[in-house]
Amino acid sequence: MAARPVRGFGVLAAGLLVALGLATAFLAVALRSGWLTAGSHEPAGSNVLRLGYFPNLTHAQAVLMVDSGELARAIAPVQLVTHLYPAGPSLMEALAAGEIDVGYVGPGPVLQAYQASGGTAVRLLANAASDGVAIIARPGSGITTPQDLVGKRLATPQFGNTQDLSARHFVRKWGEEKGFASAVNFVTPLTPSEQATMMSRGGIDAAWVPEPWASRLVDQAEATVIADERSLWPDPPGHFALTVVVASPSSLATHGVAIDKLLALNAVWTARLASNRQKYVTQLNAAFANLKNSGGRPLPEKLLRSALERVTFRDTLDLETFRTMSGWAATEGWQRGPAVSLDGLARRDESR
Amino acid sequence: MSIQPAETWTSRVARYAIWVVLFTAWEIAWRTIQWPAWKFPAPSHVVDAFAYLLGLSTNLSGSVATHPQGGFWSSAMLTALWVSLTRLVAGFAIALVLGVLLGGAIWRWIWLNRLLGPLLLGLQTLPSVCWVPLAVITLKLTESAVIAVMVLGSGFAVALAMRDGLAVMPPLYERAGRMLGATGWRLWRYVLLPASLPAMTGALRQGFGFAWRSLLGAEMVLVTTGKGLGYLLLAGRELGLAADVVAVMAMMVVVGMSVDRWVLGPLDARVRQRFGLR
Repeated sequence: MAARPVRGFGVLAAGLLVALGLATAFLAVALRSGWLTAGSHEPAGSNVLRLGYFPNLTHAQAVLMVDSGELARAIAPVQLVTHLYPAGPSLMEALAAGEIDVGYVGPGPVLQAYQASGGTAVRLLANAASDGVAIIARPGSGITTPQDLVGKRLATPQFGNTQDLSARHFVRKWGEEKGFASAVNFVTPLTPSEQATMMSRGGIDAAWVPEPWASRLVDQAEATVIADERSLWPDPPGHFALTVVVASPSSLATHGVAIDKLLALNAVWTARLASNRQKYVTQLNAAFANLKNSGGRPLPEKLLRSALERVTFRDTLDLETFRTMSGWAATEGWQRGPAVSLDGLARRDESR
Repeated sequence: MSIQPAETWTSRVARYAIWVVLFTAWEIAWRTIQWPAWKFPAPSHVVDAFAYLLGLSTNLSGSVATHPQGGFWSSAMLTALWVSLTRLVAGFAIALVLGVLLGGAIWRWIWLNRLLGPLLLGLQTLPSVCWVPLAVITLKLTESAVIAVMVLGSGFAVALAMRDGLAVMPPLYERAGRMLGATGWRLWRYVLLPASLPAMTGALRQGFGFAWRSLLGAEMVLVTTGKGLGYLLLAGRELGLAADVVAVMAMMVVVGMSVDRWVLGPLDARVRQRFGLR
């Protein structure tokens, strides 16, 4: 039986085509005029430097150089655009995707992106801060030493971030010593801003976090400091890199001049903070207040002062931390391909 | 299942061949263009990642240099699968019982349907991950929170499917039952419940899809000490391991399809056959 031609098919097809055309046109207009990106429509290209960092104390150089306007002035006429992230994996994801050019981030996610991309995604430029991480426990959790963390619910800022990697490494080690192999399953990534509530309600027992989150937990959840991560690292004084400045090789090629100016300013601010950090407490708090919409929050001044004492500001590269953490990440099964030599991590090969 | 002619062997071959063609084309395209594998993997990378997560060593892509620790039985994928399936069974069972009861109730009592029908429909349109924040705030990071998201994400769908399935049941059954003297619980036990079987299996199938999606969504956002497939997907993303992400997605598809094809589909078909619906 021959199929009867469906009447109105032509009309339907034409209607669909018109609808499709209208939708495309609408989408094009919407994207161009920035309706969809809700006002965050930003210029891109070689005359804009896009910087990513966290509203953390351990990112003080970035927080201060942006808030004071020094960075914007230094890189002019290149325009500055900033993006804030809650933790490293999100920032590295943005860097790898070309959403930002340069960022302040911890060694864990840098290593991961470097290894996963076969050494092509990221270059290490400078150190910003070392140490500055504490282990905090909820009252009544029964945790008094770091080894007590085995079998307790331990929060870290994000899966795969630097503290997450440290926590997994040490908890795995202590768990094995106690014959509790699955101890690492109790590591619970949770956004730092949600940790205080969760801790005071007993949802987590402890947290392994950078400043100012550690001090904030002490303040808000009436928690206690169990240990400074520095005390767990071998060989006193046991400094470990916590915040570093990184860029993608492609951004280094296109934004090399602006990035160099940022690095110079990083050195200036590192020197200022290293010589007299307490002098900048008010300025830091004002900067955090300005970042309110991006997760920054001012702290009681006493708290900020004590939190600052935990951080070491220094800009000399510390590849030793990267080597140590690379071994930890391998144990966690995070690296698949052939190990990429860390020698290329800090190489500025702008021809790439 | 509607009336379908038996599948010929050619169409069966074609059905499997399409996969082979698709993956071969993808692999060839990758090998020709050489996208960076950490941004967009080829099937061979995905197979390697899948094997790695199952504690096995393959190297189809030639880019794997590390061996997984632990064996097959303690592998990340199998552990996650076990966690997710346990949650699925527990959560779906609760959703099913509550959904069937609620669906039966709003079918039976029309005033209840008028009262709750629009609310249920409204809640059903809410994507299940939208329950996560509330679940975390009230139940903290616990298994109960995960189960709650599943139950809330699929229970309403089950209830509505049950109600609609019952609504198409011929009223003659009930009248005949009453004629033969069935009242009260007897009417339910011997007439209404057996007659509602097709509606129930329909609700079961419908609800499973919702429950499975709710579970995976919840696992991606809500991290507890049990690490399911959703968590494994999240881990792949945070570590920038694109092949892992695709491998975990493939596992999710396999589980969803298998349950529908080998468990719920045949069950539905059998019930429909018994009721002369096919």
